[in-house]
This record gives sequence, C-alpha cells and structure tokens, in this order.
Amino acid sequence: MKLELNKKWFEDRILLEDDSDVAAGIPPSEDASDDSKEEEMSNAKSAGA
Amino acid sequence: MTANVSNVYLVEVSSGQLVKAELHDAILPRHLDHHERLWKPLIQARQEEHGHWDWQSKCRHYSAQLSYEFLAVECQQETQGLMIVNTIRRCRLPQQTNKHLVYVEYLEVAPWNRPHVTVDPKYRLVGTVMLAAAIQLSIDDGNKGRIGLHSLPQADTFYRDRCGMTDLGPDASIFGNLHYFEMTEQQATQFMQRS
Repeated sequence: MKLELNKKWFEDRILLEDDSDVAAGIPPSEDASDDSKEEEMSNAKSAGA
Repeated sequence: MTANVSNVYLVEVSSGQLVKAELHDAILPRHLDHHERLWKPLIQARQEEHGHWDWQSKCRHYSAQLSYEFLAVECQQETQGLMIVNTIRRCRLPQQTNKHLVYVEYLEVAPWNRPHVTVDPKYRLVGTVMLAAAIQLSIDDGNKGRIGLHSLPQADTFYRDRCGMTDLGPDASIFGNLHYFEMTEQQATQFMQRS
C-alpha cells in the first residue's frame, strides 16, 4: 500500500483539525483478543469449573 | 520484515510547521518496542479509563489471518500511531449494505499526541494520516474507499465532524454502546480530494 498525498493536502487538513482525541476499537478493558484477557477468561472458566 | 513506506506529513505543534513522517504498511518490532517502552509508562501514569491495548499480542493474534493489515506512523524515530484493519468486513449503511469495506479494528495514537492525555501535544494529523491509509487500502482492494469503525467516545466528533463519516449511532452489540461510523465512496472521495 502506498499513500500518495501532496504536501498541500496536509496543509489543508490542518485547518480541519481540532482538539479531538482519535481512537477506534473495542476498549482494552473488554477486548478478548489480548492474550492477557484470554488468560483471565480461561482462569475464570477454570475457577468456575 | 520489510514494509512499504509512504512519505507523509504531521504538524509539529510547537512550531506549527509540517514535518516529514513515514507511514509503514506493517507494524515492525521497533514499533512494538516503542509502544512498550515509551507509550505504556505515559498511559499508565495517566491511569486512563480504558487502559491500553496490548499491541504485541494483537499482532501475534491477527498476523496469522490474511484479512488483516497492519500500519504504523513514524516521525523522528518514534512511533506516533498504530492501526490494525480487517479488509473483508461488510457495510451497514442502507445505500451500501453488504458491500465490502475496510474495518478499522484498532487505532491508537501515541499518548504524547493526544489532547486528552497531555495539554501540550507533540504532533497533529496522526489520526488523519491513518484514516487516509485505511481509505487507500479500501481503494486498493476495490472497495472504493468504504471504511467502518467503532469510535471510542472521545473520538466521535473527529470521525463525524472532521472526517465526514456517517454516525450510525450506538451499537448495542458492542461493549459500551460505542458509536459505529461508516464512510461511503463519496465521503472517501471528499476526504482524499487533492488540493
């Protein structure tokens, strides 16, 4: 993948920026794809068995 | 491991000037190292509500699956942003239902660039560059720039007002009722429009 945008594009984007924070995805505290979370869930299952 | 590198620009907040940066279409070991050594202490010190993602385990988890792509933004030898996308998800907007899109699974910007973490952010445009990359991946895959994502609450205004994405509202199937956003072909064209 190559992103080819000229410098002017970035200059113009500055005008649209504000102080918004940028992030996307399931919050880490609820994300089961982290190994640590999987381990926790596995332990919880074992404890409940 | 090698990666394609694209030349991009970020805004250095202290000078207000554009500075050269690199977009890598891979998350390399040094990017993970930066996350561990440089990002984590700052995030932990801030005791953020959502904590942080474990990018090492994410890369292990998703790298075996061909539908996932990995991206990193680097500037001044430091990692400024990380992103993982899924290239085979489907659209929800009625006018493009079931068409393929690129779904942003995870997008995180370095804590020193985030206004919610520091009053004195270092670089701006990191999120914008990563969104442009997701759109480009969608175009490259023949999906005409269509992308989707679940936004963390503090980013809703960015996706809606700054990027022009359509807000489909809270998604009850996702923890925290995160808002689901989608970008149409037309919105992507507008976002990427060259000056």
